[in-house]
Amino acid sequence: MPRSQGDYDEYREVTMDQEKMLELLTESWFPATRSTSTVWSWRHLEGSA
Amino acid sequence: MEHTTRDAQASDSGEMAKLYYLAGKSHVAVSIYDLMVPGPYGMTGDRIDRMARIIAAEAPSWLSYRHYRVIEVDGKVAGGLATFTPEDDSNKDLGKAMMEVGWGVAQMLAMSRRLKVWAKTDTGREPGYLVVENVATFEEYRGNGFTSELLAGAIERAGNEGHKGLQLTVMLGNEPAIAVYEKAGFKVEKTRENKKFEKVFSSPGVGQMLLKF
Repeated sequence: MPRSQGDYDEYREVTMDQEKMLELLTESWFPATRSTSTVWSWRHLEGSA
Repeated sequence: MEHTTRDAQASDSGEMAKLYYLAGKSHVAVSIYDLMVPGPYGMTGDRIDRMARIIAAEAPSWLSYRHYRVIEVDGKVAGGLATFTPEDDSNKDLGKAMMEVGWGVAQMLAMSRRLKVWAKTDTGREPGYLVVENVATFEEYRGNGFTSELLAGAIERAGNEGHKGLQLTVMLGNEPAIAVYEKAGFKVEKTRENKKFEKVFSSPGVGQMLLKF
């Protein structure tokens, strides 16, 4: 885990690209697209269990 | 009233922002755009300017002018309506457009908190149905059937493109709007109510209306 702000910034940079960050930042705004993928994820997990 | 219909352009973004605000406000005191853009509630110059920047952004989002049709009277925008596919309705794309016009991570996180009450009540989208959004007419032009005309164009587009039908979201209690949509062939498919939502918006919740081909 990162120990300083500098480490943290670098940690974020290598572990999270902008696309992923935006996805996480915006996923709760409107449920329109999220609800579909959530349903799909659960079905997917159930199907593979 | 003599009028023309056309695709919106980036230069319409200011008038479009006002129409979006009115559409989001519906028949109640607070607009969804009051929650999206921070600051004192109301159609303030700052809120309209910030919304207009997102509408005119290069990055495509469901708020973009590219999805909007406007009705024009004497060279002035009188009303409009957006149509887009559920696939275009992407939170991430909206985030990209907002970052392009200067929104930072902290501002977007704060917006997430403000939108919680809406997100918990929203009825979501129906796959395969063209989305109708941000329907509004400026007060001085109401009563001319502009919305019905724009809806007819949207229905024609959905048919030509092979969609299953059309979908839209209404605030419960907005009877005049529901009547116009029902006249065009939409029916309330499902509703969702939430006490916190009622406290913020003075409406018990939202309804999803579908027009099935």
